[in-house]
Amino acid sequence: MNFLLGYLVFLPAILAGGLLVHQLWGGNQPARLLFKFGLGAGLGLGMTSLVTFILLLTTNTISGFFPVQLLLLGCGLALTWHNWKTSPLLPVKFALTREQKILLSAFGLILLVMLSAYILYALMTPSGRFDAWMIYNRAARFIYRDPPNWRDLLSSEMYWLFHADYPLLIPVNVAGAWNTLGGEIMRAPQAQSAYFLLGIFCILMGAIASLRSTGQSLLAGIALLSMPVFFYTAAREEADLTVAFFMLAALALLFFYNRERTAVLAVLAGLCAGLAGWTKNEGLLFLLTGSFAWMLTFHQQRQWQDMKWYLLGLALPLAVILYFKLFLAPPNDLFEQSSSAGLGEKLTNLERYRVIAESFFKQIFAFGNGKVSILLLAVYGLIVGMDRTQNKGQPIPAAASAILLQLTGYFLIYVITPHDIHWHLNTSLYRLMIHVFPSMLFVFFVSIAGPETILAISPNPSISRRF
Amino acid sequence: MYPLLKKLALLFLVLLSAYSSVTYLVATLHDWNPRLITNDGVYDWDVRLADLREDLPLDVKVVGYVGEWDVKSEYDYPDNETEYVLTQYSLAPVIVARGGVHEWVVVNLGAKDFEIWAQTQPADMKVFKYRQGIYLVHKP
Repeated sequence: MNFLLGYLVFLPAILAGGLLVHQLWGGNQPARLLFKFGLGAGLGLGMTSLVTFILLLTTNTISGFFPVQLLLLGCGLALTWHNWKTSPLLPVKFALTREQKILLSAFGLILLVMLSAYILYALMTPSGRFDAWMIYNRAARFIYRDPPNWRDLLSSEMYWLFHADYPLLIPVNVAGAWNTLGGEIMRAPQAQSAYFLLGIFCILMGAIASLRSTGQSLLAGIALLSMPVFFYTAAREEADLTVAFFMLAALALLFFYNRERTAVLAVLAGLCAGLAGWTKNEGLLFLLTGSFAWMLTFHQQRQWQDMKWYLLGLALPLAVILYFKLFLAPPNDLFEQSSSAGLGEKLTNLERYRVIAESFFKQIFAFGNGKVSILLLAVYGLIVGMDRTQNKGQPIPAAASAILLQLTGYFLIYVITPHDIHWHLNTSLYRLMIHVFPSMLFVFFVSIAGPETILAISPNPSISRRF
Repeated sequence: MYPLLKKLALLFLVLLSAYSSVTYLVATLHDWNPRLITNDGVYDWDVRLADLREDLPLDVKVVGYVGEWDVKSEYDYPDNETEYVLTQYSLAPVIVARGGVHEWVVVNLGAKDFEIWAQTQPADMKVFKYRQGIYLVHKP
């Protein structure tokens, strides 16, 4: 029962997000609807967290969580009802080729297997894992158990290990869910993680199906399914999938914007970048790298006038983050414990660069904890080749540069870390890879030739309308 | 590149993904332990600290924490770290600060180590003893 309640408590936010994104950005092609549902799920959860946090800040209560969700859902339903004829929600008819059906069957079977493994693992991990108790659910307990004094969770007396300066997207929603359910139901944080994983699949597959082909989208989904790390991370209630979600969303939106030049896509991308920053400190870095990718695209397309829309989307989360960081949060351990002399020494110590580079390479080649590795995907890409015709004019360099800059930022953080470098790498690097991997997979599958090209079949033979 | 090689690469990727998922499911089934559904380590630690939580006055906002890492030169770091983190998680919204300088201190030590540590503390401190080497110390 708790399992079910944990999932149901976030459902209004997810449905609201999906409906509102659909109202802002029309189109009822199946692939686009899938993308919008995934995007809406994360944005619904993110917006709920932001508004609930503002209410917590002003009223010192967490009881606003569920009414905020219902309010968002009410808006979504009202707009959907009002615009039912101009912006229909039901997907247009589509059909698959024989080869696409085979791929869909393979995807379905692998999904079934991974879902079974996820459920078993999640059942055995009712309280999540280390980071959940240390950071996110701990912070949620401070809020839920003593709302009038919730600011204690940001006390400078809190040992640095607890990362009291981390932004609060996840803890606010978890505390709100517990408040709604009337108890510390540990399945709620697990459900929130699972929704972000679901969102990653929907965005990855919906975007690739829209931008490339159904077969390529199914293949990308299969590749992601083959990586157990995403499934056990979801069960462990860590925030890394949430960062991965917002990174992927902001970069996928870049491709849609490139094709459609619709201002609302820039608004949604700004919101995604901001919510990445409201999730974790690493997301703050994406605020810079993701914005860089968007600025590069605005510059290349001479569309600087749309920058205001991106900034509009960014405004609310950025304002909340700035207030949180400037007036509430204690200093970050990485910078508080570093002296300028120590920093200089670390930056000029080549041995540190060697150790970090070695760990990065090992992690990149072993990432996923399954049989399909990044190296294997790279070999696959080399064999099937790039789809040069379709890649022309796509913002692939902008998206790739955001990912590379993000990785470079992570690399430099390890260079200057005041903690033991081996301990720091061993305990965090695989999680940082989770942040960038879905985006890497997206750029990879958007760039290379799809199954339809390989098998020399028509990509969308009987979809009623091409998009 | 030869079309046949591309087709084989595609087939290989799909089959390997399927194999990867099945091996993960098999490994998860192998580790299956129904006790963990309700009683994982976190639950056990919450139970272990339940009496301590009740004895701690409601107005206490911060307590100290002393573990092996404060009294021994050789200790198991991951164990110490995990037990400290779990203690903070259990006692929230009370802040569990490192060290023994606070009025109220949670001490997580074996009996011998506790005696050694206690000798360095005020003689009039009050000690509450719980199961499995957990103490709550009040220093007036």
